[in-house]
Amino acid sequence: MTLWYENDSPIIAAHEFPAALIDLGCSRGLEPDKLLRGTGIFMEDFLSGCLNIKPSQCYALIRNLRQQLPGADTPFLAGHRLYPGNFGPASTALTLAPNLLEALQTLETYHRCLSPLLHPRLSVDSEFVYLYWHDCCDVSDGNSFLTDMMMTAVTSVGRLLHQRPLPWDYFLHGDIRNHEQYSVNWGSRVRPQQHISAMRLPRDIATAPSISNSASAAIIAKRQCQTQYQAIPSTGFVAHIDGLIRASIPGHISLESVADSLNMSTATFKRKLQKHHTHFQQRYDTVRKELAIEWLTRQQLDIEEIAARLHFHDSRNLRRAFKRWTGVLPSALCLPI
Amino acid sequence: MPPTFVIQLLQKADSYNAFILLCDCTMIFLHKWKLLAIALATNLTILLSLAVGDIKLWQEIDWLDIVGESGVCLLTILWLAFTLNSRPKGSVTTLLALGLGLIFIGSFQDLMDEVIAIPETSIWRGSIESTLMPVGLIVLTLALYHWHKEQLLFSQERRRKEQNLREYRLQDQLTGLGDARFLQQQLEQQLEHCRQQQQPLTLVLLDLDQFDTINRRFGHAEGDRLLKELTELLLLNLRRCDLLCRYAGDRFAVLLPGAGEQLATQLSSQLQDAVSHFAYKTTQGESVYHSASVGVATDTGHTPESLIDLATQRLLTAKDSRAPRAA
Repeated sequence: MTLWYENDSPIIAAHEFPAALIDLGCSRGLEPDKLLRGTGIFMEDFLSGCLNIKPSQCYALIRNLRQQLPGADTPFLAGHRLYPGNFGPASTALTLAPNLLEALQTLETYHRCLSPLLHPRLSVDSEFVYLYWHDCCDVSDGNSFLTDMMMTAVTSVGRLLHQRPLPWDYFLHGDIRNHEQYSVNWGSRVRPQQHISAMRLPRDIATAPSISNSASAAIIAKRQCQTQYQAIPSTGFVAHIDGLIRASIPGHISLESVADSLNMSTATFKRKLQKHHTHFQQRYDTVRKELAIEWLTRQQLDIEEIAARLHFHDSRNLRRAFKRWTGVLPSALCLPI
Repeated sequence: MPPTFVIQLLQKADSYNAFILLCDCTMIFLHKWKLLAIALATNLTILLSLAVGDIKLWQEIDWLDIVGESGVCLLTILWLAFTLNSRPKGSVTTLLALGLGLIFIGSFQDLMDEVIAIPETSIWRGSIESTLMPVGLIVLTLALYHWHKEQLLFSQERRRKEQNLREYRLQDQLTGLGDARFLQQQLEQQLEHCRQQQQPLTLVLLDLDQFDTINRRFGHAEGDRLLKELTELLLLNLRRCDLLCRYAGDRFAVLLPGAGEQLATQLSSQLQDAVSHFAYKTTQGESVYHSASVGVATDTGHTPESLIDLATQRLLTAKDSRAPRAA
């Protein structure tokens, strides 16, 4: 069994994640044939309920949707419609979770079906619950559609479990263009230009019991998920590599050592990375950037310490690299978020 | 009122544009009957001249006159060709062809006079060119005047189309109202205008309470329909000078020029009342009632952004007092 899926592995059940996108398009009056043009998906197969599509087809579907519904609210509408959706036991486990943290754990564990194109990573400390979003099988082309959509979907789950909007904080990569959409859908605590995609909630709210408290149904749904998704690769190739790199820091890591641990030749590894529009150095830099930001803002480590952990000769080199990765110096992000 | 044929032509504006694109080099073939008529009339004048007069002897011919008059003749036929080649069929074109054709026949008759001697006593002597020329010039002037009017109408039409296209982008697809960017634009203009007029200006943001539960209970199609119906309801409850925009999602923005804090509060509570008395019928026929929260912000020297921020802040406070949020 392989541990990951690639952008041409047919592993996304078309009636799960893609259905939310297709339904949104159809409800806004798009022609199904036009929406599916160039994706290699056919409406009859889709309606059969047993079609599996590749991540690359899913990206093509999103491109069509964005082109044909260019409104600024499209990712948010798609996000609101995603859950509970048609994900079988995973839907139940999400919407009947005893608390939000458990729902987020379900999301992280079964993200292969719940969020196949963006990898959610949960991280809990004494005060906050953080949910980071990473590229899964394709390095995003700088558009925020998927992150906007997935963060809206999680926001929507939180609102469903507690029947009120929750005080999430949002951290976004770049600048935001449609301020009003974020303000209405997410609230006022949105921070652009943070160079990561993450959301954060106070831990006591995440662990507070939810309104829809039916413990047994949630437990059964989780069991069903376990048996149903046991034999299926759980994460996208790019996210898998990032995970390996993240786990090995502060130890040493190289292209060869990662290829070794994947049981493939370096040439094959390089070719696979290229297929996902990335290369090893880019993965390494991305992970180091994310870790540096995490350490700077959450643990408030000093620059020397971070430089040592990330194998920089000294803090000056780290500053220079950081500037190259993000366009700003670490001191600009030092403020606790 | 433009002449009716100009209007008719305008109605064909699209086919006109398409036509120009399709056949801009061969349009002269459209006018073969006009050209044929001019050729026929020219032949008639030749026959007439030959019938009443005699061909001059070589020594009687003034070659300088021949060169000058044939030059005028050739240039006129060139103008005719150029004009007709760039025009579709139509009344203005017919006028242009008629004017230029008359001028051509007049000048050709002038040329004929140089080679055919018409007796002094004949009524045809000099009468053809001296009537055709001025009539032709008058017709041509008339034709050029209508051509000009036609061009004005075309450019007006084009401008209107472009404006539609521009505003289309600032329009919300679902409700047909202006979107947040349109609001921003209008807010800038109105702020300036109201400050000049020493009038107050108030922005109201109105947000449905628990809109997401409607979407969850009845589906997003119902939610969309509710927003559309709500749009009409709100529009009915506004003054003529007010502007309603869809800010985003279930949040509407109302721009109230000339309304101070007090009037705006009154108007916005009217809107809230209208929303709460509105019994929305789902497709199953169930009645659903709603409530709305508002945030009112009156301009006291704000920038558009800070006015929107202030209204948002007050809206959220109002929402919190209705359904307390988590700390």
